[in-house]
Amino acid sequence: MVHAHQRENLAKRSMTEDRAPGELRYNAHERGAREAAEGGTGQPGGGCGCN
Amino acid sequence: MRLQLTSVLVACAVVVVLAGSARADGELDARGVYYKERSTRVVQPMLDSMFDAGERGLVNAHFLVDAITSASAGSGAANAQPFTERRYEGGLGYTHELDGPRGSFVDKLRIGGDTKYSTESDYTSFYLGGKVEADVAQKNATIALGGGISSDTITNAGAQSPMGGPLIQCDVTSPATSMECSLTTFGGFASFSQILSKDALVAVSYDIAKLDGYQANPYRTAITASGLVPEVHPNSRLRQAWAASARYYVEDTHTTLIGAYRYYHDDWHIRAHTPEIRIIQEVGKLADASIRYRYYHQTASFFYEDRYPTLDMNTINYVTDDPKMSAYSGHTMEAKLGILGEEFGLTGNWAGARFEGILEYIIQHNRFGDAVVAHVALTLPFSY
Repeated sequence: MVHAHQRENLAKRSMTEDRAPGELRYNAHERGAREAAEGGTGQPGGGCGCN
Repeated sequence: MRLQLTSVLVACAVVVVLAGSARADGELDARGVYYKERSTRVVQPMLDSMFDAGERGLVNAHFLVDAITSASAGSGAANAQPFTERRYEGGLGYTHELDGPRGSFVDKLRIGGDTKYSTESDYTSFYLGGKVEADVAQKNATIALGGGISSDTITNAGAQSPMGGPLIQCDVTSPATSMECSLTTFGGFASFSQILSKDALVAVSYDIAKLDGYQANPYRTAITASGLVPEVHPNSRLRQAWAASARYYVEDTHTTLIGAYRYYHDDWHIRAHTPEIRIIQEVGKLADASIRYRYYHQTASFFYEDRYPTLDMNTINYVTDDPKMSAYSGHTMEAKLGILGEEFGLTGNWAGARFEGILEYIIQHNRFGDAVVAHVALTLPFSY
């Protein structure tokens, strides 16, 4: 169990979501136009260490 | 266009109404993307916003324009004639946070919904979705479930002759043709993430989508021994993807290591493997630089052939000229730099503004050819 006061590193931008919604959406759309595989790009949230 | 503007106005109204007189925070992200490959160029300006709405609500909205210029039949150019087309997309979402039941395993619960509308000359799409997300075990893990439905309409407007054709065969089991076809997609996902230590976390996810309706391109034709014939794809497709990722923060060097892998398969016999690594390096307290490498490999669909034999007119012949249906592999290499406004001596809200630049080179071993992608973005936090 990692307690709230131990989550300084987990709360960093690079450990939560380092890509903006627009970047993620563009990447998914662009690759969807060029590759047959879609999905599995991960959903937001999870273990972010935010209080 | 009117609908997107309405969506943005509704988002603003919702924020104002729900926020009341309380002070709240928001973020506005303006981004421009340029994509260039052998026969296709895309310019996409977009706006994303996120606002607190009251104590427990979060509203997000986006609007974008996708301007594509292409002479590639693979991109849908009729008879490989160059075309320029604009797509407009707007989206709106709301997430509400609740406390978990007292004494239960659930710490926080987030319930959200979102909608998206996209329109261009020959394709419109409307999406509606929802999700539930729960932080559990003192926020050491998060479980999420969601799903959505999209309803698309495809027309042959880009190749209209004075007689209204060529018409589209919407249903492969019926010879009837039409100027307009539909596609309905039901999607669902489940994800789980877990903190492993004060420096590490992992996540897994599963996505499924069932598509029913017209899935070919109304302008593409396939080469057969008996001549060129309109593309025919199956009307039904079941797509599934499993993904896993891990993040590790190296405290001594302020470096984050990210690894991810996705396995995809569908009932058109396409299998795809996508491993990816990213390294993010903090540069002082106000900047970060990152590099990314992504490998992609897929097998061909069961009906893909470079050149088809003479077709038997007594059976359903699935034929395609879509490079996405062929077996191929690709590599993506990316460099990214993000800098906060404070680094440039800016103050107030601008001190927290993030300036970002991304450069990507994509090697595509198919007839699309290699591509270059560039992003420039500005994210501005604000209070209201």
